[in-house]
Amino acid sequence: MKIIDQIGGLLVKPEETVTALLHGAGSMVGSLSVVLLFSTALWVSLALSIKRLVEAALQLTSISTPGIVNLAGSSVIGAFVFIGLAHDLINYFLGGVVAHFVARLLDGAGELNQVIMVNGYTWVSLVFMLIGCIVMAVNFIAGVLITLGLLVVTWIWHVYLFTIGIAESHGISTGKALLAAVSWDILKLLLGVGLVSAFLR
Amino acid sequence: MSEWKKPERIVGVMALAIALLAIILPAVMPAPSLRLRGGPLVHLPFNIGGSEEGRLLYSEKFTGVDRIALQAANSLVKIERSEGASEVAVSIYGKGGGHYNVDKRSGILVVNASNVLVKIELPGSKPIPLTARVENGMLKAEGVILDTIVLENGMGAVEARVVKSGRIIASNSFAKFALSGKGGIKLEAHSLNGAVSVTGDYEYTLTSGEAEIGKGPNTVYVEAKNTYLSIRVRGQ
Repeated sequence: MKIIDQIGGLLVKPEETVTALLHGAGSMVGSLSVVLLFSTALWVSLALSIKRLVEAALQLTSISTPGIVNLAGSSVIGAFVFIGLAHDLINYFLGGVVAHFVARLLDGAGELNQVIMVNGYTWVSLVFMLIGCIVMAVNFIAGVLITLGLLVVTWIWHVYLFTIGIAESHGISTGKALLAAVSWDILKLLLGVGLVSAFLR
Repeated sequence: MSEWKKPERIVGVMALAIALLAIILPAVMPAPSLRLRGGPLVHLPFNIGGSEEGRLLYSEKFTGVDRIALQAANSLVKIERSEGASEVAVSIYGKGGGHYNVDKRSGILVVNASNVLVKIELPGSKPIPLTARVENGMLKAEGVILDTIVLENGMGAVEARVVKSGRIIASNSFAKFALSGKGGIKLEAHSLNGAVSVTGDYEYTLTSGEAEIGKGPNTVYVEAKNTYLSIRVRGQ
């Protein structure tokens, strides 16, 4: 099964494709490739959109320093993409690890590498947000609104794919797999709330 | 079914195309134009305050006006002759944010304005002496007797009669005058970093320093600093 079929399959035949990935069609290299491909596309696209917005804002002022904007723009784009990729790779590994241990706690019997692999393939769901990024290039405000809407769709599709994968690899019910799939997101949310509370105290 | 017709292959290609487009499009598209209510701010034209008519803020007619004293900042001033009119009509237009004060004191019509458009209609039969100071704006006048006109950072187009004496003082401006005076006009011109170009009864261009240009019983003191003044002189 070619990686292009895997990507398309995860969008049109998700259950069939996830099962196939867990039974030999998938690989860690393929999984990491999907993460890097979609993550890079998303963060580069967002960085370029922000740069265009800054350029538009500078046009409102009488500042005319295209050289500085280009130089600073390239550095900021590089940093933005690097941080975005690092964020996604951490999510890729830690998300898989946390989901695996939660699935284990819920009587799962799968392997860690399979959960991490499936987690990586779920990055395919970023394609929805990328549609928003394309719209953003044509109409910024509409693109931002559509991207925010598609962020929800992206998350739902990611959870859906991950749930199928955990249920299949660990042999647990869909409910338990769903809990494991969202466990990393819940943990991040709790950590975030905790940090904000600590700062506000 | 051919391999290329497999739906997952087609969707896979589409997903990759979307990823590619999401990178290419923001890179090649021009920066968006930020728009606020009232249109884009990106290409603001240079507008003298009050150069757009806006709504009528003030309108009044005055009789017995012997002289006009006007001070305007960031405004457009239009003084025009109106054939058949016997009164002086003052109209002020603006789009908000402007200030004005119009008063008549012992024959002198006093107009103070900022950020507005001032229109003054004069009776066509008799020119009225004008004393005007316009800063950051534009003065367009006809049917007046030249008293003193001061332009700062402005533009002017003035057609005036000279009776004995008058003064034109302009800095950082660009203006053209058409002056007429019975028996001729003598200009006492001073120019610094600018030019006073005289045409009509005689032709002369003063780029720097001082010069007396022309002769006649009527004298106009001209001072141009960083300014180009074009003056057409005609004796009657």
